[in-house]
Amino acid sequence: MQITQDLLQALPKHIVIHGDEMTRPFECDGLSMYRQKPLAVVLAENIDQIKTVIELCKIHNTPIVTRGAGTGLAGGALPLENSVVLGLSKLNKIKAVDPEARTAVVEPGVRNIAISEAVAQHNLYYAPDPSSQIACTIGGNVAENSGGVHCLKYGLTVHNVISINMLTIDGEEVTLHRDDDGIGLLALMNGSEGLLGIITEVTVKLTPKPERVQLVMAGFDDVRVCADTVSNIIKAGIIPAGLEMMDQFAIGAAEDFTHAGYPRDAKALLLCELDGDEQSVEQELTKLLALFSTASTVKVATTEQERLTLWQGRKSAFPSVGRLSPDYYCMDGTIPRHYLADVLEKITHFSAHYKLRVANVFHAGDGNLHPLILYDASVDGDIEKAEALGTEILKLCVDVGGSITGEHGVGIEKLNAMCHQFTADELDVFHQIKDAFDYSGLLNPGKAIPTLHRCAELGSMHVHNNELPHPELERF
Amino acid sequence: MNIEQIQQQVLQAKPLQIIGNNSQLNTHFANTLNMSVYSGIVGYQSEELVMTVKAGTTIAYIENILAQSDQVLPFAVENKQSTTIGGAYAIGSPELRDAVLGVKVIDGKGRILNFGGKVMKNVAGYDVSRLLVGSKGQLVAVCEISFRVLPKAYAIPSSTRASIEPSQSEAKQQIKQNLKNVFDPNGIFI
Amino acid sequence: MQTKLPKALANTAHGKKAADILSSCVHCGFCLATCPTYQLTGNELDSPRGRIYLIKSALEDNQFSPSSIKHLDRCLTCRSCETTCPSGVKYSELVGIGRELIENKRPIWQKVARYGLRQFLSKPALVNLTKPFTQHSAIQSPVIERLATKGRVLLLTGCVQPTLTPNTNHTTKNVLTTLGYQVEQTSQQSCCGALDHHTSASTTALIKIKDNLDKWLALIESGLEMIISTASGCGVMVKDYPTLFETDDAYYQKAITISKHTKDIAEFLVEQDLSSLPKKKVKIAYHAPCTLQHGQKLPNLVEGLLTKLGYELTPITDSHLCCGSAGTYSIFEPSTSKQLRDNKVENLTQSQPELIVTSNIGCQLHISKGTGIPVKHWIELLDCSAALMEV
Ligand SMILES: Cc1cc2nc3c(=O)[nH]c(=O)nc-3n(C[C@H](O)[C@H](O)[C@H](O)COP(=O)(O)OP(=O)(O)OC[C@H]3O[C@@H](n4cnc5c(N)ncnc54)[C@H](O)[C@@H]3O)c2cc1C
Ligand code: SF4
Ligand code: SF4
Repeated sequence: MQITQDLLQALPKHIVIHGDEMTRPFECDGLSMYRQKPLAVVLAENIDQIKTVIELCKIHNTPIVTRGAGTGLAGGALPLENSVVLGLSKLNKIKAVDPEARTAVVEPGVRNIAISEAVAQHNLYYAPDPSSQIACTIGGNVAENSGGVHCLKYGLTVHNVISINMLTIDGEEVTLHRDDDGIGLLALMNGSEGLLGIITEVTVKLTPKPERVQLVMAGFDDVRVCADTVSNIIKAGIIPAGLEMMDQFAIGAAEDFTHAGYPRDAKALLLCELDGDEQSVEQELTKLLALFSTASTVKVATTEQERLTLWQGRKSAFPSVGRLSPDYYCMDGTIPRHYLADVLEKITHFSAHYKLRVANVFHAGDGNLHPLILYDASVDGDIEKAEALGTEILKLCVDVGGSITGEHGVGIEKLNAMCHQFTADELDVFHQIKDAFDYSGLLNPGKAIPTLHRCAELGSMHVHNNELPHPELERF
Repeated sequence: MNIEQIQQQVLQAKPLQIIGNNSQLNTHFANTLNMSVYSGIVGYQSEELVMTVKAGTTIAYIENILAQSDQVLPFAVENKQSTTIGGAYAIGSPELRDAVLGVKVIDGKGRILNFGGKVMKNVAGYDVSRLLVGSKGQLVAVCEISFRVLPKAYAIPSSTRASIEPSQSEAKQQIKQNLKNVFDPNGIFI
Repeated sequence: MQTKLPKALANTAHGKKAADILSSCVHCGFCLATCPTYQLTGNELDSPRGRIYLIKSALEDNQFSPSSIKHLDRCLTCRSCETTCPSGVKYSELVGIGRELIENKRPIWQKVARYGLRQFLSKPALVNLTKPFTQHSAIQSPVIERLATKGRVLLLTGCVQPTLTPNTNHTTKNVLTTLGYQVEQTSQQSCCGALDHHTSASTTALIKIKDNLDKWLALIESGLEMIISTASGCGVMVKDYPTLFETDDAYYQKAITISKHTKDIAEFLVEQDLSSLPKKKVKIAYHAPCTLQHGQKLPNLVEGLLTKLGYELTPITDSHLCCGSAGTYSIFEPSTSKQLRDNKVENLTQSQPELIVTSNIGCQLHISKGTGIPVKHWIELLDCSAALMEV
């Protein structure tokens, strides 16, 4: 293809990857269910090379798919047919740290955890911690507005980014700052999934390490009791730094990998982390332990090592489940917290109906579910069943007033579900916003926002306000 | 007043200036859309840490309701008695933007649109509810706003910060202009 | 990950094993973070996930050219990815299958070079000839002799160790003797097979290994307590012998027995009373070989032991990363190898140690080429007779 030739001519050879054989390992991201080989992959080493890629792709009318570490779970970095993948993993320098102002300026390919490691000497860290933080990049985090286990108290990526530099489709550099006058362009870029611009630099806010961090684990014999405890903690006026829930299946899988000492026979467990100054943590701990009186096991982490091991089990839970099933499909719906118990019960029914196992491990504190649907892609019909089950779960989330995705993004995977959450008018606005940034439509086209045509074909799935599906669920 | 009546006003209007309680903006135009009559709490459950209110509700009223559950707003607003939440949203501040979870708006074509939601985390579609914070009434008529609230113990001290010179560029101006055309192609909102 | 192997392959033992390993990989990318080659190049193709994909692709009958081979060759088999992988992917077994597969696709000049090196290194007579140029450390103390009171152990002497770093085996013998063990030694000829295995000469490797298994099993049956390795590269190879045989192969059970009876010297010593051993007053930095921390999955073992003995160890940045030695790697991939070594030396010398110690001869020789600070096997710190003289 001409574009490949032109890229090879304009850029150093070692950063242009082309041909079927070499581009194949880029054909998917963390969601390997969808695969598509790109024409070429460019691993840019500086901004000028990115500009060159944009320029050539515009000339050849070739879509650009930006890629960080490819850990995305919605197919955001899935290449498109005849596209060029722009990989930013080589741009991994931390450019500046200002411990006084508590900021760090980093290139887009810097791994999330690398920021915290680099500023640890100043007793600071970068708060948003997706479970994939060991590998995922800050550029990907901004593009997905990633969350993590500590977002309940410290916010999502959007709350922790001070400014970004981005390149427009015309190759122009634009700086967007939190304190900009007028509309929130920086906020808009968070979660824009590579459709509006290419993020080339990020200034993040750093958080001082709290004086004390206290993790408590509680195992419950009953899922409902566990779920209700989540609401009760918030009701009691506590905002934990992290509040995570795992069901029995996930507990077992994580325990196999980490040997963290999770209670295998509990039906569900909570990991609740308190942080702050010594006194407030002690007070909250007393309250928390009282709330855990309904638990069957309670373990208060006594050493930093114990705390980290307990978290490692949680953070490795998805791939750990991978030991138990050839494939899994990770959902990401959010719901108002007080529906937790009801929705989990429904998911159990769906699971029985479709005869596919579902493991639950999720950010309970902010109502962000992660049902993992286990299936085997080599069994005929399993993929379809998994997708149908997933759709049911997402519809349920929207119906109780939640969202189809809390942090993983829409990508390619949740396009149909978008039709359920938004009206044609709202989708129309989304498409126009894309045009306002990218008139050429070459930046990751076809992702994140379904075409109106697609939604029409699916049949109007959007539920209007006056209809009430699942009337059996109590509403507020 | 109900939302359809607001919608009618938008559909009939030539240039229209949106006002809250008239606290911040001076009106020089005959056509104003007075949102202060569209007020009240739409939904509030303290354990969810989320409140949804109509745009004309004053900050003082909201804080009063929150106080009954020992909760507070996570952002600071001046002139609480007269400022409406819609007005505060239109003027905008980074902390207010942080707290916003969802909005119901009417765009320049008179379409009622919902963006974001009532849950803490939501990345479906572009984050329009945070984009429009600071839109000064010039892009849409904001009707309802959902935002995050905090237990009193976690109240954030209202920040005083050094103002930084926002960086401007032609490309950025162009994007802003394009977005104005997305929400208000006929220039209804001034 | 969904994998569709062609029927002919899917039904073979190799194929089944590969399919199993591939399906346990969920393509999450966690392993990218700790892979030394990915850290250097930032290229998916030089990452564990990328290599797994290349192998998958080859097994699925797709094109597999020297370009792919290049990225597999760049892998150090350090197995850092295995330590990181939450899904339990047996990367090294997969890459073993992959390497065998590519062996016959290599260009002829590569085959010749690999054959030559293998022949050279595994022939003691040849290696010994180079002694005047390559010897790293000489024996520094007299041999201790004492009556065995506890039992017999077999020391794996290694194929190049006796020539290049004779003091390691020497000290080990003295320490074990001091502790009351009777030490037997393997001959230099009975190499563990790692060299052949890593350059994909499985048949040659298997002949040696079967021979070892038979000999050592006989010793165990006659009451030998433990097989002890002082080079973690040999240790991991012996411990992994069972993965080389099908479960219905007669040698499989033998391999399991031998594997269970093999320990790294540190593993053996942590269970002993070491109070009689001396401590030298030097400031040290410890390099943990991949074959020990990732391969044998014994992280922090030596660090703990040395701390117990009274040494103060400062944490080493990126201690999970390979030093670039990786068996014959430093010969076939010199530039990556050198870059990794430079990074390693920088991290090891941050605390300005007087001496660097490690657990594997490969790392020892490789690192010492990059620094003026002496590099030894940590066991040499325990040289009983030398210490006696010092006190
Ligand atoms: C096991 C596992 C656990 C996870 N846990 C969490 C979790 O707890 N919370 C969470 O939020 N997510 C989680 N994720 C999802 C994923 O890690 C995040 O979405 C992450 O932010 C993706 O980063 P990345 O660098 O891998 O981006 P990629 O996957 O490479 O890309 C993601 C999207 O961002 C775009 N993009 C990437 N870089 C740029 C850039 N510089 N400019 C513009 N667009 C860009 C891409 O086009 C794509 O649309 C998890 C994933 C896995 C595999
Ligand atoms: S063995 Fe080491 S070099 Fe090879 S892929 Fe794994 S981590 Fe990378
Ligand atoms: S960490 Fe394990 S499961 Fe994840 S991509 Fe690497 S090998 Fe596969």
